[in-house]
Amino acid sequence: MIPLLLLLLLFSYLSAQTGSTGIPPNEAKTLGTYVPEDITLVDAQGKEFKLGDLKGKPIIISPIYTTCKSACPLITKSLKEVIPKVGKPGEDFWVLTFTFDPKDTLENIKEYQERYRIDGKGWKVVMGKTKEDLFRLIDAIDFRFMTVENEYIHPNLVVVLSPELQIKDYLYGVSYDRLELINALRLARGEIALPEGFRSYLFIIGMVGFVGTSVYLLYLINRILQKRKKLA
Amino acid sequence: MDRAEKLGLTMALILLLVFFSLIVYAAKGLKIDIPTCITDVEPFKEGKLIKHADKRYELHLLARMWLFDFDKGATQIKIPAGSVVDIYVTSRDVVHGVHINDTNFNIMAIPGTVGYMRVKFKKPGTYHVVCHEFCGVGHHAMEGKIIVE
Repeated sequence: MIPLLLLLLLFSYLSAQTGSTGIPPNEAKTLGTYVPEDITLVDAQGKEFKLGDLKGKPIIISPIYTTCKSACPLITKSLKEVIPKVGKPGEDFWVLTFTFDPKDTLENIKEYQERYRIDGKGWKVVMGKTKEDLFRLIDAIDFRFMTVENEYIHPNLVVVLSPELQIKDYLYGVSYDRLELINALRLARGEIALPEGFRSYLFIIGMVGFVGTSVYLLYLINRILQKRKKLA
Repeated sequence: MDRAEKLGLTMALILLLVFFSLIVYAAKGLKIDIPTCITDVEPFKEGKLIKHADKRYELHLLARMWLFDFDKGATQIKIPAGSVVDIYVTSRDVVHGVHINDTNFNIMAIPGTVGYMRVKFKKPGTYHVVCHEFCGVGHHAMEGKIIVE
């Protein structure tokens, strides 16, 4: 009992660390849609490139902001651990750690890249060239944040795009599982296909099934009871 | 069971199913933005209009007895036409309601939680904001303005 309680305490402590997760993206809106190719990004070296330039390999986008003290460091650390187990950034896929903070500057992302020893080639720390680019990208993946003093409340996630910049999968949380990421990348490469439009209806189909089964069971029970009454 | 009774029951069931499927269709098929409630944040204590970029705003709308605080006490704000505004709503005292005329923004302001919805103000004009939840003697005068130019 006591170890269980301790475990519970540990879990609540860990979840308290990351705080609120804000407004989740509406996957029904975004999955299967394409991110505009002409969004211009700037990497930590100050080099500009268009998202379309990265076509040909899946892209893992991790939205963060550089002055984040709670969730973003955990996200980046977890990606640092899991990415080498999945493949080589730049050869198998691209990784973009993307700052959504409109106040972040080139200095900030440079510092962030150095702090986490990110190579800046296959895995880039990037920002939007203009604020318009920034909001076009976060609107495309339906990422929303709320300002609280100098911090932001935001969902913790990474987005996986197909080599054609189609949004394929979201992974949630601050730590990512190797198999989960491999699966998302296979989905992005088109090795496994899920009908995207259908996915958002799954929950409702399940619910209708559940309700239908319960109604049928109630009907059966009712019939048996009535038969008994007749016999008596 | 009586025939009329049976008919009534079936009709009611069919109507319920139709309404339910319409809700599902509106949420998933029409891709309507659904209001969200954030319960695990500390609600803000004053209204604030934050400009993130051109035509890109974040509005912290604080409802209180008996006014809407849009921006540090201001009961009306000005934004350019075509602005996309992320509107967060909370209340400082009792439950209020926030309805922005001419939009589908209609959210309860509940103390302790933050309601959220995104609005794009396409047409210029004055958008009246009214409280639609009876909140005391000043309820009828509780209103604000969002001026879009």
